[in-house]
Formats: sequence, structure tokens, C-alpha cells
Amino acid sequence: MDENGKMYLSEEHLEFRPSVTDWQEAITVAAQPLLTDQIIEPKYISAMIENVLKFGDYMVLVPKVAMPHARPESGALKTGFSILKLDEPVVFGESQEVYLIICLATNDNQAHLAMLQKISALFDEEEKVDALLKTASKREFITLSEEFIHEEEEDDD
Amino acid sequence: MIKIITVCGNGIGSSNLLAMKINQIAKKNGIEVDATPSDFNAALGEEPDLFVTVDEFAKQFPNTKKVAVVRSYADKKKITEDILPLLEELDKE
Repeated sequence: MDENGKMYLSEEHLEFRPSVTDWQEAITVAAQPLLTDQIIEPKYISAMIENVLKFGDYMVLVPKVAMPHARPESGALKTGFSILKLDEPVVFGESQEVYLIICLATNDNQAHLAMLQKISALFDEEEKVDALLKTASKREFITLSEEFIHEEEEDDD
Repeated sequence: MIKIITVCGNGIGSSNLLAMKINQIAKKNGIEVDATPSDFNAALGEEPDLFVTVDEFAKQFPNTKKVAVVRSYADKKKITEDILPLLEELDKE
């Protein structure tokens, strides 16, 4: 991640899969890059899954997009995020079909706000989500994401 | 200045997103708003002008609190539709 206008999302933190068996697997797969980079401990993945069970399906923030996360003390070592994109939706909660899973981790309640603001630019309009879901390569996904993030920043000034 | 507290389960992700969007919407419409995030339990002890959250948390608040419901934590259009009329009303008071 780079604060100076370079690519914010890396190919290593993005995974494309045709499908997964259930939402638990979706969270586990989506979180792998965070585990590899030691941004989270393994127990953080269980904490995210427990959070979905405990708080219901509100982690599906907008149609088609879920943003699982847990509290810093649940095993977040640093601040970061990773994304899983699915061709076939996975069901979260009772009936919500999700194609995009964004795992969020932060070891500080404030440090992640800039990151959150950028990430929200990817899904704060339905048209953006649909455009991202149509991308065929990681490179294309990242380029489009960066465009959305850039637009959002200009919008904010 | 309208004081708003946005509420979600653990006060980290969704409520922060919602607070950011509300602050953005208010700024764009020239209304002075200070929206901050909170988890549900901590929120119960606060006295803002308005709580904003989604239906599943809104129905857990006691009747004495002023709570506005949004359909989404992150969808700019839906949040604007749900919250802007209320902000304009509060701004007049």
C-alpha cells in the first residue's frame, strides 16, 4: 500500500475464484493473503466468522459485497485488506448472494480510516460493483479500483 | 452542528463507513454535521442529536432515543435518500 498515489491494491491481495462451497470458505480464502503477509494471526479468521454468526448478515454492506472483519484484539497484527472475487455467488446469512468478499484487518481503531475511505469507493454505488465484477483479470480489477479511489478523493476535496 | 452517532456491531467497519458517507453528504449540502462511529453497547450511553444505523440495530434501541434507519452502510445513493431530508429538518431547528 502506498499513500502517495501509487497502486493501492496489489495482485497478491486479490484472488479470483470460480466458486466456493460456503461463506466460511469464502472468508478463509479471502483472508489468506493477510495471513501470508502476517497482517493477521490464524485466529482472526475464526473471529471474522464468529462475527458474522453473532451480528447477522449486516457484513453484507451493499448487495453482492461483504466486508468481514473483527476487532484488533482478535488477532490483527497490522492494518490491511484483501479481496476475493467469485464468478458464482456464495450465500451469506439467510439469502444474500455475495460475489465480492473484502477482508479487513486493523491493529488500531483509527489507523484504518484512510484505508476504509478508499475501499468504500469500490462499492458505494451499485454500478461500480457491477463494473468490478465484470473485470476478467486482476490487472483490470486493480486499474478500475484505482480509478474509483481516485474519483472519490477528488470528490472529497 | 448536528451531532450524529453511527452504530454497528463492533464499531470498526460498517459504522465508520456510514459516518464517512454522512459527513460527505452533509458537507456537499452545506449542513454542519459531526458524525462519529460507535459499537452498539457504547452507543447506548451516548446522547447525540441522532443515531443512525440499519434496521437490525435500530429496533434494539429504547424508544427514548432518536434513531434514523438507513438501508445500507455504504451505498451513497440510498444513504442520501434515507438521511438527507432528516438532516435538512434538524438543520432548521
